[in-house]
Amino acid sequence: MAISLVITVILILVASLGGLLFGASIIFDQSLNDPDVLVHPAISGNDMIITIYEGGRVTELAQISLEIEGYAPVVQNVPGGATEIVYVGIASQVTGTRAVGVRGIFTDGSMKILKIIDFKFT
Amino acid sequence: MIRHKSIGVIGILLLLIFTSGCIISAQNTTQLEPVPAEQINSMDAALYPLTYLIAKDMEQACCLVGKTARELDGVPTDDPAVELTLLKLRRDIPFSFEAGLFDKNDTLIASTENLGKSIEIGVGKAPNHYTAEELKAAEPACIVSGYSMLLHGDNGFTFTTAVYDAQGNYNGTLRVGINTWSLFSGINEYLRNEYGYTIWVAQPDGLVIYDKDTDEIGRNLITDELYVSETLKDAVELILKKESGNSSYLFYDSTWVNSTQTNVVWDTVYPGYGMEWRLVLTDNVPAKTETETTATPTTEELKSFVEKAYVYAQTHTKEEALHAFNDQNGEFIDGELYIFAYDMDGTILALPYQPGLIGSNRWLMEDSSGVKILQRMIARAQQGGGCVNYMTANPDHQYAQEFKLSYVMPVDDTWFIGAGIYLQENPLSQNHYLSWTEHEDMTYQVRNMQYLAKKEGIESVIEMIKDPDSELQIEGLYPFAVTENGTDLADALKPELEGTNQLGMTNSLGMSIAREVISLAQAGGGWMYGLWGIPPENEEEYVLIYVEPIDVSVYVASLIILG
Repeated sequence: MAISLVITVILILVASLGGLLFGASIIFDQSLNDPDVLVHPAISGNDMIITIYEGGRVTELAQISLEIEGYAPVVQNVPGGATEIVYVGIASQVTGTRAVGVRGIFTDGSMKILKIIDFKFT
Repeated sequence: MIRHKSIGVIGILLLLIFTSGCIISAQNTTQLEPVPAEQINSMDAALYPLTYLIAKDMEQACCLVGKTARELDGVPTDDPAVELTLLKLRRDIPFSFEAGLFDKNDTLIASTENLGKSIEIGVGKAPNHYTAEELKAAEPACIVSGYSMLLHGDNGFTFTTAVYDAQGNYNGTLRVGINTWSLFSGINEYLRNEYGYTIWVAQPDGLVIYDKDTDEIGRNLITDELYVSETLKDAVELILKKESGNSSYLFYDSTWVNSTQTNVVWDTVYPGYGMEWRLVLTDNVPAKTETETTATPTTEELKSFVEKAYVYAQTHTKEEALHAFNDQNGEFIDGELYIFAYDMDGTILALPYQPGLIGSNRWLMEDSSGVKILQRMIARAQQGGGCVNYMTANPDHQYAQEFKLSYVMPVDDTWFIGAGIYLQENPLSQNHYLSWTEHEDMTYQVRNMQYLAKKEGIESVIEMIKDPDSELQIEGLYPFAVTENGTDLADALKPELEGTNQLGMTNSLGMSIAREVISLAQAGGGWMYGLWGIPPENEEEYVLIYVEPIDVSVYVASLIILG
């Protein structure tokens, strides 16, 4: 009796763990396959260019906030269908290695970090 | 300059020798064909002047090290003369990495490296220990170490000689790290371009210390599984056993698929006490193709191709993405375009046409000009991506060395992807090459600025850059100085830039030369290519730049126009 109880408990634990891992994997895969908005920041001289590629909420993207470690965030509007947002002169005083964050602001007012990456400005 | 005196004589000698004879190579053979005596004679005639040249280089470098050691005898470590003397020595041996002074316990007590941060004074230990007796026995020559990783992380060998105190007692060692790539690649380019030969160099223990293919450097001819063919084993045995001779073997051609007969002649160089090298001249050089057979993609098409791969990498797992990039029949092969991927430490993750190399590390890989290809790519990827130039083999043109433009993008902080196109219109793709004397002149000019900045102050160097008649100037080279914040301090090519901030100045490829120069200087210095507007019309041309830091805030460089 005790043995079958232990086996039942183990089976339940294994099944739960398997379900949890499967669920996590689906969530992970979904987040990979369907990002809200896929963006990429790059430096060009003193400018920073945010390229907008694709994503489930790309049509809802209203503004992008570019955040460079140690500097105040700069928000720019995203015109409908835009694939590139240029932040002119934003890196003119920036040197060394700094974290760069790109935050999306959507039409419903919600915000989401779209990208965080370390940049070597010089 | 060490080599200048011998170059003219050797050039004329080689020219005379090569007015007759042709090179025959048996392609895709399975057995060795006899080699005409005339061909062996021609190869021998090309080899011997080079053996002499390398031996002379080593002898003169060793003399400089010995002379410097005598200048340092009895000088306290904290005397400013020590740093100056070491900088002068590094300047005068252009194929050196760094020079350092070590105490009797092999601990570093003074060094020319000031920004690399890989060597700590008072902590760094020399990899080889020599007794005072061994050093004495070597004098007046230097002890030459085997090829290995040096204290600052690069691979090469060292010259070591004893330093004595004021009473003549043994007090430590003076060591100079030598860059074997820099030592041999200029000669190799000269041979390849002018006569269709290349060289490889090995120690008696079988370790390859130089080869035109950097992936072969550091491998052992006796033990490495790459060298298993019977004919090659026989040839290697002969080469390592005999000081000079000739032989033939079957080995991969540049495709690393087909086997071809390689004919070699070799001689021995004695670079100093305790070491000898086999200098092996081979005839397996692919001829450069003169005509263009396929349309080269544009820079925009290249960028779009990499961006497509970027989106794929961001929307799939890393494993899935690398599988797709490595698939020779997949969507990430398009004509000459293919996606490569590397870790940020230079480890190959995707290379569809050379799958056998996946997992190997290319952090130290240099092109024929000394540009550390992966380090430049990684620096660019860490700026969010962009264009990088370098010389590399073009598989569409029998693996001839050609000038390449690659576009790279970081997938995240740990790995990046890229693809490239060969720029046929570039002079470096059309039988033009930078001679080793030009390369050494650039090295000398920049290291001279480092030395003079310590000796006379940076202001004095800035004035010399501005003065076209100063002792600093070398014809065809354009020195400049820039601060860590991107302010141009002096510029021989564009004097009008003095005092302006250059961080925002970009070329037509979107690259800020100033940001690249600063990044390279802060990494300890080195070589890079750039596209730059040349006066008076300001038309863009490719340039090669060599950079070194003076200190944490001022960097000096020299530029040559590749035209």
